[in-house]
Amino acid sequence: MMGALFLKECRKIAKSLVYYVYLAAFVLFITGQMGDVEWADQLSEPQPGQEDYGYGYSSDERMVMLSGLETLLRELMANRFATYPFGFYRAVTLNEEELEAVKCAMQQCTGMEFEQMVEENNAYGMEIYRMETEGGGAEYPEAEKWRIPLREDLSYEEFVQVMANVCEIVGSGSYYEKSRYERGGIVALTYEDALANYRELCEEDRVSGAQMRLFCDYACVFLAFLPIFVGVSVCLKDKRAKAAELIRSRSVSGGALIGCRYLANVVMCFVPVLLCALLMQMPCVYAAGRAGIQADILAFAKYSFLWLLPVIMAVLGAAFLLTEATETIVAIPVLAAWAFGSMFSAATLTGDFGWKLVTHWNTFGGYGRYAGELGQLYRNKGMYTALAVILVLLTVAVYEKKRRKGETSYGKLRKNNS
Amino acid sequence: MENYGKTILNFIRYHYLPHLCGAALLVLCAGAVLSFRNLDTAGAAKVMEQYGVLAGILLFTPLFLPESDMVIWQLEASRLLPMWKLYLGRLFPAVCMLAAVVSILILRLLAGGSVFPVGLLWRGAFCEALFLGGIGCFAAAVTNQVVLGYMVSILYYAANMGMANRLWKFGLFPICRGDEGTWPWLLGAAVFLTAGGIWLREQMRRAAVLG
Repeated sequence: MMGALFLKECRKIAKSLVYYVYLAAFVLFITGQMGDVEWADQLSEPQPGQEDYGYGYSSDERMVMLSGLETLLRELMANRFATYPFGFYRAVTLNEEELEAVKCAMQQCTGMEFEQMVEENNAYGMEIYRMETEGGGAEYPEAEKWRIPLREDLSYEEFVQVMANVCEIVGSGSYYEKSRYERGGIVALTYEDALANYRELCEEDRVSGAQMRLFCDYACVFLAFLPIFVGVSVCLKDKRAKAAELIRSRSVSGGALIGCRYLANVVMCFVPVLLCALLMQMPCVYAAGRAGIQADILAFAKYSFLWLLPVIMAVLGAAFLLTEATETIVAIPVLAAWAFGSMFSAATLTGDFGWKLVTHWNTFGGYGRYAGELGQLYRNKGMYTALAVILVLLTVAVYEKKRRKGETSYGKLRKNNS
Repeated sequence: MENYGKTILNFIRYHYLPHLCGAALLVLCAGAVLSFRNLDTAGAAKVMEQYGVLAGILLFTPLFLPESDMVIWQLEASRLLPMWKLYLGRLFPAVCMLAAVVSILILRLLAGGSVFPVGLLWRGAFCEALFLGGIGCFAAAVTNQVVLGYMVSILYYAANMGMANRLWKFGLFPICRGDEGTWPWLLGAAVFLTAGGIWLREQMRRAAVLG
């Protein structure tokens, strides 16, 4: 009986126009995003003597200070400071007095006039632009790159103090909080670093793992809000068809009905995602094979189940509960705000999973850092899976309560919504 | 006329109030999500075009909400009075509320010391919000499903985040992109979509009555 009910619910979803819009939107968005990803050149082994090996992260105090001040210079020049006071992105613009105070802080760390710094930075930018347009892709040698000067006797403690003052002016949740800038030290990679990264990509990630993390990054954004519509539409369908009372009078339990309906939604939303992941992975597996690297052909399933399934489950669970409880479309604005809020609350697009609904890993590779944050990711996904189960149980409780009353929760014509 | 007034008030009371509250909440929450302080034209345009315009989706998509219940639809379709007058009556509070939302956000920007061309930004954001709402309204009218109306307009908004430049005169965030001359196109499209939705519903009513 449960199997028949499940299949019936699947058929019902497959007949819904909302579901086809969901499919079309997901496929269009994901192919649009993944089409621009260039990963083929990363499959070749780095060679000694290359001019540039890319960039990586460092916790070296000097590098942290340099990166922190470079960010400060960039934001100061634009007078646009990124902050995340309530977890959401909020751009802050300073007035003249505040700008002067931050410029002074900058000068204290560099020992150079702010105007001179801007001049040198702009001249360097112009030179890069000139080389790019005239030099046919020639690159600036690493040793000659302009870096912000650090005052000779600047200690790390003094730098921390200056950053605390800047943070006070800009506002909480800015880049100038110690916990933020200490993770942002960027350093040019050496040949050894680049080789280690390459081996990590081949041996740990087995190439397709790196690509699937990127796929999950993009897919997670869409799956945070697309299933809302499918869930709301399915929950309101009985009501639209005037079949809600009829179904409640049947012998099937509320748990079985809501459980099968929920499961059918999860499966119908997740299977196309899994297929897309498989299709996206195939060129990568093929390219890796040609480069002599054995790719992980199951990476698409591993990452999709870990990364995307809990998101679909949680979003559908919340959509079910809100729609069943209110019999309105209130779930759409509420959950869309949650999804967009989570999307814009990302202080970094690589890692820092926390308890966010939309988890990012917008880079190809970086397995070392990913392995370090894997525990956080497991906790995040475990929490959302548990939340989804709780939400479904609450939905069953709400449904049973309505059923005992023998009518809709409000039961009046005026409360129609779909 | 009195009948229309009553019907519109009932629509607001029983169907539209949560959407009006949603738009009010959008204004109230703006301070937590956005900064209104010392912005230039580009910063202020971002506030209005990427945040304020969401009010259009909230306010215009549910205009045909009551009729998605077949009982109400059949009852209204059986009446002699043309439904387009009813829909225009529903449109009125939506347009007023949208104008209020846009104006309040503009006033908050001015109070925060931001400097920008007020008329240009008000007009741009208002037309853009109307256009987004028009998309939702039309999709809901065609499919008789408000869920699809919301879905289509939100997807259009999301698609514009990466490809507004490719949508010719109908790309969103025009002032942010430095293309300030597209407002007549957006306004025209908004009028076309909303009027098209109403016309379609009227035709459906006639078909239902004759059928």
